[in-house]
Amino acid sequence: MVAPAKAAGALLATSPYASRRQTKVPGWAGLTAWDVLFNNLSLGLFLVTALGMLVRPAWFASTATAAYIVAFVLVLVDLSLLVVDLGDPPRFTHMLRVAKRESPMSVGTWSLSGYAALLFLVCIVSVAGWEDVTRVLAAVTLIPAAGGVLYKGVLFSATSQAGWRASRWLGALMAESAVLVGAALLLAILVLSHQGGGEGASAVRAALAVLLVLQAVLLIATALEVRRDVPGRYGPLAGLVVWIGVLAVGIVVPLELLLLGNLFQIVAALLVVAAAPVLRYALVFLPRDGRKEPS
Amino acid sequence: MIPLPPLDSLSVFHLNAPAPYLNWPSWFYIQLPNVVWFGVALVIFLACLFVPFPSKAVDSSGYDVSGEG
Repeated sequence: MVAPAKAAGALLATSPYASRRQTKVPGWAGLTAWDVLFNNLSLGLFLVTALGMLVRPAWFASTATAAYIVAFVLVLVDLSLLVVDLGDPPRFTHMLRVAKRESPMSVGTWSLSGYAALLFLVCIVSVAGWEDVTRVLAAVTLIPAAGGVLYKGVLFSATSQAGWRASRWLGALMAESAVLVGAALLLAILVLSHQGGGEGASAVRAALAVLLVLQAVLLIATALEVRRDVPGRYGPLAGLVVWIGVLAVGIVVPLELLLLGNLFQIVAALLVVAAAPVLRYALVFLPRDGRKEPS
Repeated sequence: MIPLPPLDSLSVFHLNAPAPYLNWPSWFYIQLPNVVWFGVALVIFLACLFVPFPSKAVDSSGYDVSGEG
């Protein structure tokens, strides 16, 4: 008599489904990676600028309007990418017909739409010079902005897709990364506005250095989880490129430059932003390992 | 990450596959660590706005302030 386990093993070995992926991989690719990037850039920039204006208005007053406008342009690009990525543009507006708090995608759609609408008003009152109204509106906008930052991590990690399903740290990494790239962008705007030697730039530079260290910790925690789930996902060469892009160019070199003072701070900020797409691509492409998908 | 306590047993949080996020308390529970780390990042930024860092003061007076002359 054949043992049941042995029989099951033999069946699996001969099954035509044995080498096939059991879950259908979503069609999320480059557009989604850029969507995540522009989402993080816009929301991160707005968050740090609004908080800076609430706490230290004198330090950021001269650059806040420019930062708000840049954040608004970035969220417009993000929303365009989202709509294009959906394939059928009306799908986005269809999602606004209902609000489901139990769905991360619904919460994300409403958060991003509310954020974009409120940020538009923030830009207008900021350009008009109504400082008090701007601060109140910006404070209100912080709520949908936080929702917009936080929903993506859950959306990815609460699926059954390879790599994402094991990434309990993914949401934290994405949320922290948004604040990081936002601070880098704010520092770049401060330097380009000839405020690079001021107290605001000095504080953002220090925050950026600490956030880079935190990013390294969260990145390693995520990588360990992903590695357990899909070992050797990108192969030795592509894996090396990802690590050089994310860790060396995006964290170690900028950190070294920031520690030198304000001499190379613009280079450090631009390196952080330039390396940001590499991390998003590496995360979004995790489930797409080239295995044959179920037809 | 800190192991999650077995809250499934309370019949409030349903973290089992395939879609734990379709349950609102469960989504909140999944989101909680993310919110904490997001908060940590914001607190770091805010803290740096309060801690006095030496900023490069620009002297435009034209006087020699090095103390050597």
